[in-house]
Amino acid sequence: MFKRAMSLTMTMATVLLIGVLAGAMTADEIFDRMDEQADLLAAGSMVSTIRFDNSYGDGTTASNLFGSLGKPDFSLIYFVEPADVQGTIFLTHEAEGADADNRLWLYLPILGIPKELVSEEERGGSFAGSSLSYEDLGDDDRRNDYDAVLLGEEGLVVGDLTRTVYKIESTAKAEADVETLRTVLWVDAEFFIMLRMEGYNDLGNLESTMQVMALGEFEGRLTAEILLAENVTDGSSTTVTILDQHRPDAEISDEVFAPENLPAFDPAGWGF
Amino acid sequence: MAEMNSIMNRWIRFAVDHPIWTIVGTLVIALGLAFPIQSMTQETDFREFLDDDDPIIVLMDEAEQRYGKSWGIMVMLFNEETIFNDTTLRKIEQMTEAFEDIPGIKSVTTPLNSQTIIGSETAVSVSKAAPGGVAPSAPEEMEIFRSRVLGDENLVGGVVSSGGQAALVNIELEVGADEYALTPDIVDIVDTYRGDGDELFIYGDAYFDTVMAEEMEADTALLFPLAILVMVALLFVSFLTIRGILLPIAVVLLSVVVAMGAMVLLGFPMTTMSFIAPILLLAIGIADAIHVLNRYNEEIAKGGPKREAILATMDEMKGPVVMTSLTTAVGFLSLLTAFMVPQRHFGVVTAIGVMAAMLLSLVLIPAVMSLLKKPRIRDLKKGLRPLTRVLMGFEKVIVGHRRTVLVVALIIFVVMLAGIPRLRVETSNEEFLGKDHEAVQVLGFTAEYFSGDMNIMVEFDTGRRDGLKDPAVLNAMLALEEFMLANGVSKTFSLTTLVRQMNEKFNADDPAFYVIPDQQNMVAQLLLLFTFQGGTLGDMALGDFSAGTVMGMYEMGSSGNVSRLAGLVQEYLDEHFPEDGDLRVRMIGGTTLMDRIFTQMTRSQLIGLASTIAAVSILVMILMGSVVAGLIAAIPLILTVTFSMGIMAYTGQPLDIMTLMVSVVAVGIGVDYSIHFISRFRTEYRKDQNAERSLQKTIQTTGRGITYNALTVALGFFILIFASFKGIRTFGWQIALTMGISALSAISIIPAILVQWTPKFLGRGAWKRD
Repeated sequence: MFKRAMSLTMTMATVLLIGVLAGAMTADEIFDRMDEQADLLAAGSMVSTIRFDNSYGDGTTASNLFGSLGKPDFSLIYFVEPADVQGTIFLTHEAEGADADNRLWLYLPILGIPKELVSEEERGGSFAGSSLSYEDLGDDDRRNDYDAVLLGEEGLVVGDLTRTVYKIESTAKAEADVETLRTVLWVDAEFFIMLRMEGYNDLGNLESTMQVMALGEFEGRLTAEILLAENVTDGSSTTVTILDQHRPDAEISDEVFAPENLPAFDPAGWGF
Repeated sequence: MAEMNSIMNRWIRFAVDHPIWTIVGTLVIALGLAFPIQSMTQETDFREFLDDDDPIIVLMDEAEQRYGKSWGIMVMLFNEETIFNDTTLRKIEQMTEAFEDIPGIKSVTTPLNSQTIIGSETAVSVSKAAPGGVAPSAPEEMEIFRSRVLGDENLVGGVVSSGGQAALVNIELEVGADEYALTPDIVDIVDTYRGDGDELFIYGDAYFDTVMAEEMEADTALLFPLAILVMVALLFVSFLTIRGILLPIAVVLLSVVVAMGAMVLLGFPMTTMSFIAPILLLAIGIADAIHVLNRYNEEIAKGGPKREAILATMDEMKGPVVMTSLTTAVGFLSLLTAFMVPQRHFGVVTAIGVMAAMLLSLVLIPAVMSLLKKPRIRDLKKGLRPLTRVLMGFEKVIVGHRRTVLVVALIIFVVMLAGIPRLRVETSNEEFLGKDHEAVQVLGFTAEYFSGDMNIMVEFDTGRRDGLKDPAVLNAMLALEEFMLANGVSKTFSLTTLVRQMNEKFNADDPAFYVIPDQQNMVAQLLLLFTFQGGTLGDMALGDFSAGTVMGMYEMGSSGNVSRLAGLVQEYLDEHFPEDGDLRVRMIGGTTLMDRIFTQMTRSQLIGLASTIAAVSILVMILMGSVVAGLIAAIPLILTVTFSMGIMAYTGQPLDIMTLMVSVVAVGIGVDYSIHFISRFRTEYRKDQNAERSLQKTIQTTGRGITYNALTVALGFFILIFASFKGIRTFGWQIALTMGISALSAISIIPAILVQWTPKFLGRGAWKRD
């Protein structure tokens, strides 16, 4: 009885504390905290195995299994499944300057040579036939393109957990060249990760949603383990499942991320 | 029958004895039905013209669910010399920005911002055809842009014509966007960029829907008042009294209100067919009122009290009014057998309007007449009116040469019947809208400078994941495309082009690699490369690559051309892809829809027409208690329909969605003339058993009514020649002509038969009086 009372008191105190903190925070400050959390995760090398389960508006489905290597400024995605594209590698070198574009390469095993993918502008298309765009996967210009307002805080059920979240509404600036004119974000109030997002078009209609379906823990922080991205317009969706995520024993060498080394990439060496 | 007669008598007596209650009650009901008219909807989508459970619609719905639907508006810029000039390209750039600012616009694709893919030894580059989508200004930049666009087979025929004289701006709408609200904004923007040697045209399904809806509204606003004016003028000539004008007009206006209110309550939208229903009801609903008023004047001329004159009028007229209305309604209801949904709606709504006009003629007219003073009646003994004199002279000739009349009618019938096999069916836009309609001209331009205005789509379903990546399947698709291109298709779109292109791009733009690779893995990886470049497959393939489509664009030209191509492709599919094979290959899309409409429409309509004539004749047999009467009533109808179709055949006028209804309408209305004539003739014949005197009396009374009515109906329909759509205009003049023929047949063939043979039913009473 005493334990339950204490536990209740602690919970209330935590919620009140978050409430006080939230009252003191602006939407931009929350975004800053999100960036900090993202930077912590991105610091150092990371090896992941990710599964995409795509469900298309036409009623069909398809799945992809990727192995991913990442370290600051570099990422490499290795296609494990389906079999006909196994061995395909998508390599990204992040741009150093704010105005510079990322450099991308695609290695098709059947041709045996990597090709740089040169694009005039950032891609708005889907990543490997999923409901996720490159914009969704990469950094966004949320603060440059949108005016954000903290609407308040509330409880959000994620899997079997109820999390306290900040609800933020972002509206595109008049000069912004963006497709989604309004977004509503639910950000975890403790770990500053996005738990849910809704995107609305210029008619005010809901166009896309993204929500964390299951949470996991990594390095003492809460992280998204299963994410569902839905395109309301065409009825397609992608469930992203992080099957494995770990730091390698040593930093991944830059050589691994050299385009000319892609033909020699050894997936087994990374557990893919 | 006797019970119905008794009920009607009670109603009529109530109306005569309680005119105020009757008038107020009628107005309250009409106003109640007027209320829902505000929420009337419009439907101009051709696809909605078929039932939801029609096999082709089911197929198209399934295809749309699988491959999505592109919904948009196109703006075509045409420049006699070239669109590759600073001014025209600047216009495209500025228009694009303006369109993108309109809420509800999903994307705008132009020659400037279309993606081009360039392959080299080390890279595959994706960029807009003009850097940043900005119109090039320096001559060397312009030349690079020109050669890049004209060198890309995806863009030529898609967003730019092969000669560089026309450019296309594709505006895709968001799902749920209101095209009726968006279109005026787009038109305003386009209007500001006209001139400087550029011709600008707007088209696309969303635009046409809006234009059709606007033209329907404009036509109704013009034609309905015009029809009322014509009716007023004719009623004035016929009765020379205010009441003679206002009373029939009130009856038809109220019946139009009832019909339109019922239309909304039944959930029927206004379509390009049903929007003429109010005008049609004006023309045909007025007949009963004219006949009743004519008869009332006769009774008043006898000198009896007003109440007795009204009751005598109604006692004599209720039979023919009910009979003619029922037969007309049955005629229109026969459209329920029609293949196309709007024809059925049109039939039901018009039938309701006809029945409303009948009830109003039987109830409202006696109520109003009992409130008004007795009219001043021209003394018939002072001499006959000019029309009556003409009719009397005409009848003398008919009776005197009745055998000749019947032989001539038979010869005309045979000659016209012989022409019917020459009739052709046409469902093209050009036939309905007319060559001069802006939409048709634009479609002509599109067909000339781009790939065509019609698509033929064939689905390849392998039934297995990634089946479409199989080189054998891709080669089968390619072979079909080559067959289509050899048989009138201008351009094809499918995965085969994409795979060949990506193969070429990935191999440093080497044309030797513009082939389908022979390994499935290679195909899969090239397609992955495409999607990595932000490419979307749209209707080319399903997400799991189990099925996809080959789409061909061609110039529709005529319905015959659509059917020809559909037939050829189907033959090819039957030969190369047997039903028990691994691949399920079938036609879906616009061509299938048009072919279905083309082949089914005539068949269903001819069946409908035959059943209408049969139903109407049987109804006359029952109502007049005589098989012979029914058969005689049917003779002018058959002759009229045959004449109408024969004239169309000999003048090269095709049957289309509107003109197919001419015969049905002609039967529905034309039978009234037979009924009125036979009915009156029989009444007169029963008095002294003298056919010639009966004919004289019938001609002086009913003959006049029929002539005026035919004139009224014909003029009412003739007003439709001012409609925006050619199909409606043709329908108008053909009905006008047919009504003339119908009336002429009724007052020539029927008297010739009745006087020649004086059938036994003339001596019997079928419509019993109380």
